[in-house]
Amino acid sequence: MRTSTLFVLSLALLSAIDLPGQGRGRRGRRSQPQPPAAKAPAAPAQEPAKKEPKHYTAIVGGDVYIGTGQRLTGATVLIADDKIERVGHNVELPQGTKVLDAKGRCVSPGFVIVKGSGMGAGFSGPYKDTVNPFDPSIKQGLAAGITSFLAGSTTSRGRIGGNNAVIKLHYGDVEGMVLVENSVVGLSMPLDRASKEKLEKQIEQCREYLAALADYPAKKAKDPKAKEPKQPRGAEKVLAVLQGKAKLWISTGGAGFSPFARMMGVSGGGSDLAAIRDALDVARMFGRGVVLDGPTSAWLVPDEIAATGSGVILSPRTRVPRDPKDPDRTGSNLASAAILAKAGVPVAVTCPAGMFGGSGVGTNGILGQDLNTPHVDAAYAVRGGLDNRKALRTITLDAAVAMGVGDRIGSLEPGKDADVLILTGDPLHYSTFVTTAVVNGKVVYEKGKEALFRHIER
Amino acid sequence: MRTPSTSNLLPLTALAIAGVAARAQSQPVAHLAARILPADRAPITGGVLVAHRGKIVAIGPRDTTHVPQEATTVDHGSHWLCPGFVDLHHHVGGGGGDINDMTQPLNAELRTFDLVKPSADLIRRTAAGGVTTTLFIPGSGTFLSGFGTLLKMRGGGSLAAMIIKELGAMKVAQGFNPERYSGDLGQTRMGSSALLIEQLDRGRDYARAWRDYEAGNGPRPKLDPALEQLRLVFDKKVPVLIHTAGVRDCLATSRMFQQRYDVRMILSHGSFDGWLAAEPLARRRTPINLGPRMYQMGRYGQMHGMCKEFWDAGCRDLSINTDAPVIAAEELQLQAAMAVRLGLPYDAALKAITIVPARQIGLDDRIGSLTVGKDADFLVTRGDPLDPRVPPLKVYIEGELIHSHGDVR
Repeated sequence: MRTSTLFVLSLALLSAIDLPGQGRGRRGRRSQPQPPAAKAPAAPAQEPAKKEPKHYTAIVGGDVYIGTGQRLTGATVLIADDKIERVGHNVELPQGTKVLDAKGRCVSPGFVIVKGSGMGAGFSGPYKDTVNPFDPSIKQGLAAGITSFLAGSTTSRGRIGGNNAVIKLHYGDVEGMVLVENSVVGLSMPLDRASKEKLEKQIEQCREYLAALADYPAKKAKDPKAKEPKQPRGAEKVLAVLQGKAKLWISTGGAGFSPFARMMGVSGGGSDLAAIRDALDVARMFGRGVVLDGPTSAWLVPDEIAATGSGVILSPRTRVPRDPKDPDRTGSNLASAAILAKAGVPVAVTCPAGMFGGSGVGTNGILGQDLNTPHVDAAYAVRGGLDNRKALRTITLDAAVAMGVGDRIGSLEPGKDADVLILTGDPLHYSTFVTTAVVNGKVVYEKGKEALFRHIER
Repeated sequence: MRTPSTSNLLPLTALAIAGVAARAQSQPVAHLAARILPADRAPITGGVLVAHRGKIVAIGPRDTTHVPQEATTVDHGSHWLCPGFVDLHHHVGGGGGDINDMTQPLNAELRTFDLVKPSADLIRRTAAGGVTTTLFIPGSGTFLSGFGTLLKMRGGGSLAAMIIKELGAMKVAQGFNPERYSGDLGQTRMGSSALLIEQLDRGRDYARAWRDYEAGNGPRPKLDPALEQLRLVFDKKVPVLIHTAGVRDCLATSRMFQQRYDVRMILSHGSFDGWLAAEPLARRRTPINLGPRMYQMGRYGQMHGMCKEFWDAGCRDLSINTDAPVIAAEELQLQAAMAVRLGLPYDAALKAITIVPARQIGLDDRIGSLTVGKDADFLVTRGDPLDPRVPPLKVYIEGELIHSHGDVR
């Protein structure tokens, strides 16, 4: 276990993925000494430290959606233990490889959901102590294609807060269920003046601290008595954002409608443009892209958002009525995801925030409105003009990036976690079912073996 | 007059509703499309649909269908045509809200006609989802909440352009909402049944007295404005749409409206374990209008698709609703798609939002399929009209283009 963790860390160090931090929680960083970078091998197969032979699994013959927008026809996904080893054609299978036949099927990364609840997650941290790996709703989530989701809170008024974890649907095993805690921190708009000033001050203190920390080894060499700089108190989360260890999600308030008011078609208001611009101010204060959580008006200012390197979380189906006094610049837009993606803004799609929607795999009977069909929410981004394959990214890679774990999950690339789905057809088609779900290299759901959908032929 | 039978009978409804023939096209228009799904028969490849004065005057394969010489042509290329969708359980024709008058438990004299607001954003949104006809009904806050209006989703203009029938159906709610907890009768199904039966008996007797009088078999009854609308139900001029759910209530609904009263009826919702009543309902050929709930989690962890269960038990008179705004009005197609996902055959799902609801509400001579003589209400799509990825690019009502993709954000 330890070697594999070390390997993961070293891989992350080597990887050229744009996310510098993996958002490991405080806890994790304290208990883990930095591994020597030199030890990192290039390819997992040649790692000499491993004594146990690897367990290989291959998903063979399917049309493989990598998750980055690419698709390979009739390809193989080779899994070594809990990681993707290779993806492509003519992949040689090591002896003893367990083969999962995917001929005539589609293969895709497991879906990554930016807002979820239930599915074995506890209600607050430390999540490792509260997850339930035998929660039956995990199976329901897997049947929906979900292999990871963010549980917990991501909003916080006045100061950067939140308490959350990326949970993996690793049914039956606590180990491997919590990918990382607090890789996301949250802030809610509006930010009053005092809070904004305080945040600015904290950022400044943290910058000074980081600069002092960088100078410290040199100072120490000159003067052995030099004191290690002290971390500013109460600024851990600000520091994590500055260091790229946590993604900052900023909730814009979605134009201030309650789900009920929205459902009933209440008009007026209809814009959160001011909140979006305030959020982008915060991004500039940090000098880093943030993630706008549920903005209604983002489609009006895609370039402003792109310029800060920020991303967006939205539901293409959440409707906010226009203000009759300013109809062209208010209200939601079905084409939001397409408009933002075109400007280069990564978009993660979530389920609609309707009166009867929900962030869990519901059991109350209203299919298409909750997490039972995340692929349908991504399909609505296509309805609004987003390319079909790019739309898959909104519930895979771009969702993982928004959660600060884009280097671990969200696509079928070597070195990433082996979270893979075998599907009956196009991942975004409404009648596509998951036939097999693999999490951390382990088969955790088979349609034919579970009561949920066994009776539905496909 | 667009609403001959019902409004004639209403002394209070001497509203002259102008026809909309004036706006209809004077020249026939031939719409060419790669594929046409007529909904009541097999798909047509390489088809043409000719619309004239709001009606379909010809439809079929291009090489065998006569197109009038004077017709102008609209070539939809590789796109598909299918009938405009029909939603019989829709609450947002007034722009949302305002659908429950809950002072009295029985409100046969109310009607949503008084609420319709052609300028409402939600009407345009409904059309954007390809839904061209809706039954705008009152809520389920009382046992008998009034009469719903049958509307064409042609918003932004006059009320006259929208109304198909002022009184499209009577709305009854049997449980799971109308229960009265304020201390009066009707807290349980016993109370609700007693109240309903008392009122419906009065309506039945009143209608019978008028029929007898008109046939010369009795004295002229005293006019009772409170029962005038109810009378239409017992004259079988207007169906009853019953909000009901659960196996017990579904059977009670059939017992009351098919056996005791034998009126035209539609069982709406049928949620929770209502599908357990599917076999007896199939035997009685009960018209079923399913939604917004699409599945029930079974005791042993199966996700039962309700439409599939009703279908497998032999219920062929099966339509699907949104109960908008519970499911957004423009997502009727998604409801059908989700029914397909859970096992309803594709053809049945397409019919369940077109020809079947049209028949259930008594409008299948006018809408619900692409057939000569019917209204030219149709959508143009890039492919499968049930696929959420495929928006209606154009929506026509009575031959008139009323929505293009992008009109509604």
